[in-house]
Order: sequence, then C-alpha cells, then structure tokens
Amino acid sequence: MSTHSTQDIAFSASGLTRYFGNKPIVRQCSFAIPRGTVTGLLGLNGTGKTTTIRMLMGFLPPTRGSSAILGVDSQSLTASDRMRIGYTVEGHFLTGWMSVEECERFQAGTFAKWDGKQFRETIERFGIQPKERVSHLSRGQRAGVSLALTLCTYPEVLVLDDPALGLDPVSRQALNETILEFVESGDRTVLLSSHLLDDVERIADRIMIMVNGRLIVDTTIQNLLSRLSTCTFEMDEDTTELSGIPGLIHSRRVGRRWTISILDRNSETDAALSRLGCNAFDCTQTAFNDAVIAYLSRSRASNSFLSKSPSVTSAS
Amino acid sequence: MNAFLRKEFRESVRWLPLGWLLMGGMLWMTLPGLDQLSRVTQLSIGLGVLMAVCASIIALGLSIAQFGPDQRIAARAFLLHRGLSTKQLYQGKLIIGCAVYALAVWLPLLIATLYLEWIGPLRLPTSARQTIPAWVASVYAFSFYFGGSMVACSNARWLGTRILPLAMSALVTWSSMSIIGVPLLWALVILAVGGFGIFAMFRSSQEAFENGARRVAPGIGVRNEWSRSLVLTQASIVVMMTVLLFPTNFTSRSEIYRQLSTDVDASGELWFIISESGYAVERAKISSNPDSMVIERLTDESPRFSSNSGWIRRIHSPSWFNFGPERIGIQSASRLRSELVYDPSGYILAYTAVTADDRTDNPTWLLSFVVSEDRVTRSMEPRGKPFKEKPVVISKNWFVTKDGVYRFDNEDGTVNHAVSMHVDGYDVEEALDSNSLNPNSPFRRLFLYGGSKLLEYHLPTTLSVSDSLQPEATLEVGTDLLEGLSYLRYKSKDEFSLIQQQLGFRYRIYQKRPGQELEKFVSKPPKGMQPSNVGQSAFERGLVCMAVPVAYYLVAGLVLFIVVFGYGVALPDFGQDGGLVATIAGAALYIVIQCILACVFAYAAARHRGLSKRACVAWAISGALGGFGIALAIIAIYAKCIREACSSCKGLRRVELLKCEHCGSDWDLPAHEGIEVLEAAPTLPSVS
Repeated sequence: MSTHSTQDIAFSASGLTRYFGNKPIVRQCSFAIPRGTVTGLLGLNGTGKTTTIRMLMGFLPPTRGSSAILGVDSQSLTASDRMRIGYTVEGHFLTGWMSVEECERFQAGTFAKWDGKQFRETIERFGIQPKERVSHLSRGQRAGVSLALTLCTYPEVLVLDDPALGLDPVSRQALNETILEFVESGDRTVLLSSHLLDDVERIADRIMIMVNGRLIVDTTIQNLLSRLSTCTFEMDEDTTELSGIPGLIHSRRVGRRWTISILDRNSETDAALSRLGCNAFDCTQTAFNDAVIAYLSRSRASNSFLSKSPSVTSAS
Repeated sequence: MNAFLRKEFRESVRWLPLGWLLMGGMLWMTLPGLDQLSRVTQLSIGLGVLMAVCASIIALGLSIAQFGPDQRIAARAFLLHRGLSTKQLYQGKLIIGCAVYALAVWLPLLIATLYLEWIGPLRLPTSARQTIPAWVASVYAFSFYFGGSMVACSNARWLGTRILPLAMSALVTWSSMSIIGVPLLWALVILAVGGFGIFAMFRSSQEAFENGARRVAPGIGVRNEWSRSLVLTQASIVVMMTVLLFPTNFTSRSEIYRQLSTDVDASGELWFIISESGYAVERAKISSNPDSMVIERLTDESPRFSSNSGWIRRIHSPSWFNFGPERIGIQSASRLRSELVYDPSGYILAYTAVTADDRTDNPTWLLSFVVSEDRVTRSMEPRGKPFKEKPVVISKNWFVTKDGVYRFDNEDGTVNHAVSMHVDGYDVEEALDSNSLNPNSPFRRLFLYGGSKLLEYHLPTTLSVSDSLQPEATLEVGTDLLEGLSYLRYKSKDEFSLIQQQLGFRYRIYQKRPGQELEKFVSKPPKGMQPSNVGQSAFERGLVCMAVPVAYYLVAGLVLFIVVFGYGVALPDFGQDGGLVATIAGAALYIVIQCILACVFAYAAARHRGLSKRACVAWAISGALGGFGIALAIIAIYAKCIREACSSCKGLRRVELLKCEHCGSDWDLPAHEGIEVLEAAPTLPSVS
C-alpha cells in the first residue's frame, strides 16, 4: 500500500459507476494513479475499460461517483485542461479525407503548443509520407500519425485506449519506444489500455485489472507478482472444492494436471490443498502473463474453445 | 479556430451541389415564364411554401451531415479533445452551417429575386418584393438545422422520441408561412413567437452537442436546460395533437360540397338556400323558429335563386404582409386582351397580351398603362399618387376603395372620384343579362355602406368622367345593424333585409317589410339542411376536444375575445339557442375529461421517471393545461430511472444517487473476494 498527496495524482476516481440501461458496466471503481508512472489498464472485451476512460476524459457522465485528471473533475475539463492531456482514441480515429500534413495543420491549429519537428520525426519512424491521405494509410501508420498528433502537443499525461490494436510487431515496437521516450522525457504519466500483455509488461510499472466492471487489481507490477504464486498438482477427479482455497484466483485443468493461481500463499493455503489430497504440489512465482490471465479468466467458464476443461475460481 | 473552420467547411461544402440541385429544380418549376401572367399572382405564396419545404430539407440534411458523423464514440472524442471548448466547436459548426446554408439556399434565392426584379414590371407584374415570404421561410426553415442536430446528438430511439425536435422545427417553419395576409401586429407576434422558437432550438441544439447523448437525469432539475425542455414539450404537444386528430381524416364526410346561403324571392321572402356544385338544390323559408321551417327540394321548375349575389364584400385595410400582385380584372377591347393587376406598391397595372401572328395561345405580356389615385399613365411615364388601400374593381373602369368609388379612363388618362365617402363594404347588383364572372359587365345597382349609413346607387347610362355619382337612396340604419353585415337583400327603402352571419351557421336578421316596423330575429337552418363542412359527428367533436390542449383553448378564447370586441364579429345568441348551449356543454365535458386524464398521465410519467413529488405535481398541472403531449415530453426529457434493491432497507433505490432515498445509506463496497490487490484510493468530492 502506498499513499500519495493529491498533487502527486495524475488520474483518480472515486466510486465511479456507469450503467447502460439496467446493466452496470463499471461498478464502484476507485483508484489513484501517481504522476510519473505508466499504468496498464487490462481487462477482457466489454469489461468497462473504454467506458472508464471515456468517463475519465469527460466524454461520458458517470451514473454516480466522480473522476479527475490532474486534479480537475473530468466533467469540468476546460479547453486549457485538455491541452495538458494527450489522448488517442480506440481505433486511432483520424479524418479520412485529410492528408497527414493536413492532419498536422488541423492539430497544430487547435492546440496552443505544437512541436512540428517531433511530428515529422515520429511519422518518419512509422514510414509515413506527409502528403499521403489518411484513408490510404495502413493501420500501423494511422497509429503512428495518431500517436504523433497526440505527443506533439506537449501533454503532461497521456491516455492511450488500445493503441496497439491490429499493429504489426514492428509498429508495436515503434509504439512502445515512443511511449517510453515520452515518459523518460520528464515527469509524465501514461494510462494505457491494452490486450497485449507483453507490451504492458515491457513499458508499464503499474497495472489495473478490471473484471466484470470491477477493479480487482490496482498496484505495481512488482507488488502483484511478489504476492502471486502458481501451484501445479495432479488429481484425477473434477472438484469444486478448490474454491475453498484461500486466495484462489483461478484454476485450470489440462488432463490430470491442475494449475492454480493463488494470492498471498501461506500455510493455510497449503493446508487447504492437503485436505483436498494434494500433498505433492509444486509452487513457483507467477509470470506476468499468467497472473493477468488468471484474473481475466475468472469471468470465463472454460479455458479452451475445444474442450470443456473446467475452471474454478474462489467463491465470492 | 481557423483550422477547425477550414475542416468543417471542407466537410460540409461537398454537399453543396445536392442543395443547388434541389433549389435549382424548385425554382425552375416555380418561377413564371414570360407568357405565364396567371402564375405571377400566386408566386409569393408558391415560392414561400416551396422554399419552406426545400430549405427545411437542406437544413436538415446539412445538420445531419455535420453532426451525425461526429456522434461516433471515437470521432466525438477526436473532435472534442482539443484546445477549443465545446462551445467554440459548436459555434464553429454553426458558422459553417450558416455559410453553407447561405450558399445552398440564399444564393439561388438571390438569383431568383434579381430575375423577378429584372423582368418586372414591364413584362410581368413581378418584383423582388414577391420573394419576401420565401426569404422569411428560408430563415425560419433554418430551425431544421437545429432540430437535425438535436436528432443527431440524441441517444433516444429512432422509433421513440429521437425525431421529436423536428416537430418543433416544422411548427416554427409553418409559423413563418402563416403571416401572409394577416394584419401587421398579428404577423409581428407570429414572427416574434417563431423567432423565440428558433432561439430555443438554437440553445437546445448547443446543449445537445455539448452534453452529448446525455438526457437529464431524474434527480437534476430542468432549470439549466430550459430550452431543451421547452422545445421537447412543445414538439410533444404538436405530435400528440396530430396523432389524436389523425383519425378525423377517415371519418365519413359528404362527397358533395354543400354551400349554405340566403336569398330573397320575388315576393320578398327570405330563404335559406343549399347549393351543390353551384346549383341551388334545397330551400327553407327563414323564420325565427327552426322547427317550423320546411325543407323544399328544388327542381328545374322551381324559382331560380342567384345565390352568388347579395354577399357583402368588405373593404379591408391592406395587410403589410401582402407581397404579390393580385389580378383584379380583365379588360377586353375587340381582340386586345388586357389584365388588370393590383401591385402592392399601390398601383393598378394593365397588361396587354402580345401574340405573334394570329395565334392567341401563350401570349407574352406588356405593361400598357398604370392607374394611380389621381391619373392614368403610360408604362414608361412617371406614375401618379399610389393608392393607400387596395382598390376593388366592380365593373369596367370602376373601382371602390375605402375612400369611395372611382372611375378611370385610360384613353385620356383621367381618374374621377365619383363617390367620396368612407366605405366599409359594398355589394354590386349586376345587370340581369350580365355574366357575373366577367368584370366588364356593367353593374345595375351599387350598395355602399360606411358608418351607420347604407346608400344605393344606380349606374347612369351616360356619365362623363368628371361627374360625381349621386345616391338613389340613403338609409340611416345604425352601426349595430351594419357591423358584421354578411348579406344585403334590398328591394326598396321600405323593403330590405340585413343579415349578419354569426359564429356557426346562425343568422341575425333585420327585416323591413313595407308599412311595418323593422323586425329582428335570429334564425338557423333546420336540421337536415346542413352545409357539408359542419357535418362533424359527435365522435369527431369528441376527438377534437380531447386532442387540443386546454392551454390552446385559453389562447383561442383570448383571440376570440379580441376578434369579437376588436373586429366586431357577432357572437351567437346563446339565450335563444339551446342546441348550441348543449353542444358547448358536451365539448366542455370532453375537455374536462381530457384535462383529468392528461393530468393523471403526466403525473404517472413523472413518477415513472423518478421525479420528486413537487416536480410530479408541477408536471401534472402542466399536463392539465398541455394535454397528453406533456406525458410524452416527460419521457423525452428525462432519462429512464434505474433502481436497485438497497442492501439496508431492501427498498428500490435510484442508482444515480449516492445515498438511498429511503434509508439514507451509502452504496455497499463491492463484495471482497479475497483476491483483490488494491492500493488505497483517494477520497474525492463526489458528483452525481
């Protein structure tokens, strides 16, 4: 646990909740993201990541609760507040009929600060010609233009909604490097929503995991990994009694082999496993990918599209 | 801002050719050719109506094209997240919307205006003035731009309340067309109300754009979004009225148009006459007791009635909002055909047909002379004094104005003021052998009334232009008899009838028979002798009474009050007409039922939307005044109220409130599953 003063907080939310119709999409989310960090926001499709970001950016009013960026209530962000925030929308939306240089002119004309040199350098990195029309660009190139348009306005914080969606490995690498350069160039903060766990592990130092609209994890990667264990054992029978194991995040079975992810493993955990007849089990520190997948799998019934392998989660 | 304006302009201007195509086609069909004099008189109305339709389509299309694509989640975020406020972005869109609308609508209209000014008055009685209704309509039709943007920015269902704002746009646009021919004060009131409607729509549109798809949460008052509430409420009332009145289009009505009039026979008896297709088919002798009247079916052998004569025509003060010329007569001399046209600038223009060779079809026209109050001039000569009021041609070279009767001679260029008196109305009795449709026919007798006097004139066989016309008889009958006079049946000074048509088909009759005192009584046609347009069934009457909100009845009552006391229209004699009282009582009952039901529906809708008790009562009162549309307005204005069971009191609590409205408890934190890894979050001031 760490505490921060309000001035150290870049993004925050308190009891943030949003309903669409009768359905709560985001429920009681509270968090505080410190300045100078890169935070990965992870979750399955439809779990409320984009809704949270839209509320954070002030484009969607919350049903209840509140959020703030740089200490300003999200629903009251002014034009000058927005100029301090860089934001790339999901899918890298750009105006299709514009050329890249027209996009630059448009962006430069609607923001107070603009770094044209950096813009040209960034688009060069993505192999984009300034005269090219946006509608003719590949998805990776659009991502490059979108990122360049965002970064060249000198933002203090960056909100990236699934920026690597559909990018090839080279474009992804260019994207990651650009984000890292941005963070290293000062006291800058990034909130990154993504499905690409490798990228998040590489560039983020904090993660937030959302499951069914709830925020389950909000901590540093280091802290999370230090508290998670993965245990494997063999057992013939299917059992639902695994759900009684304290701190069980998720379990899955392949053949006779069970793999379970546990938070804060202790003697109680081992005793619970022994009671189930698992005296020979092997526990290791969980890898980042496995840790995230364990949390995300809680909302899915099975692991394989082909088999009906059971998965068990802790009783809520 | 300039960069944003450039982007918006480039995105909007691509639709301009479509607008030009629509406007060009409309103007091509509407503007008259040089041989189409008859079309000129209706040009201002035609142009206005078509402009209202075309400009509405263009404004609506433009707003959807401008605002629609930006409502996609990513596009909206891309647009709004910049160093410009949402207000600036809206203003930018509006500026470009106005510019493109001006190019699409006002540029073609300006060309049409110049064309009409160019060809008139020498070749046709046209002028730029005729396009004023079209200009007004094009300004008010811009309300569809605001309506369209509200539709684009709404998250309501398409088959729900999403397109509701367009009803308000239609109402505002229609209001601009209703000014034609009405007195200046009324026209200004209508324009001002329509203008306020546009302003409210502008504010609503801005709110809709800035707040996105958000509808007012039930817990939030509408004080800050008054314009949106006003627009949606008015639109809901109009839509609900239209829906409720729609079935009246399908109720059975007589196919034949039956017209009711009065006439007098050779013996001086007064009759109610029903005419079908211009022929008298039924008659009933007028008396004060409708039950004693016997309906007689007329045959070819029955006495003829000239049901078109005897109508009193009133001289009205001209409306400032008359924009087009009016055909007031035809003059023919041998093969030369002339048309007399009154131009609103105050002159009678005479156009002569010009044909090539011996053809008489599709002639072109040339202005031959101009009649003014003091002289007749050739087309290119300086004109005389304009008429202050529109003259009415009563016969060849004769016309009447509020100042009396005039006769002009276009050969020697003179205009003679033959009768000088204040004229409120007149009736012309044509020569027996004349064709009533031919203004060249000489009149036999002319009746003028003004103030308390009624005067009879005979057309002398010989009259020089400089002579004045002397009355054959002058009757001092009093102003109360002449106010609201509808029919005059005059045989002699001792034998005449003055008939005032009251509201509905009821008549107040003053009858003078030889040697008797002036008799006064009220009469109405017997049952079974109804004109076709009063054949409303009880069902129809009920539907109308249920559909029209009480507030409209109150406004109508105020208008009626002004009309009765300001313009002297006679009210029916309620004391003598039990049937009328029963009809009014029945209508009042329907209105009371409507009032109660609308009040209940509005209250239920407000409760359903989770409004406070005080707000529910306020909306219920609005429902009583505004009818069933208020319930629809509540549904359109407020978001649906979502409730969940409270963990403390088990009652259903509203999800947008931080504390339970029943027990005041906070929301429970999400159930702890033992797997959460959460750092402490700061406590922020809450907003809901």
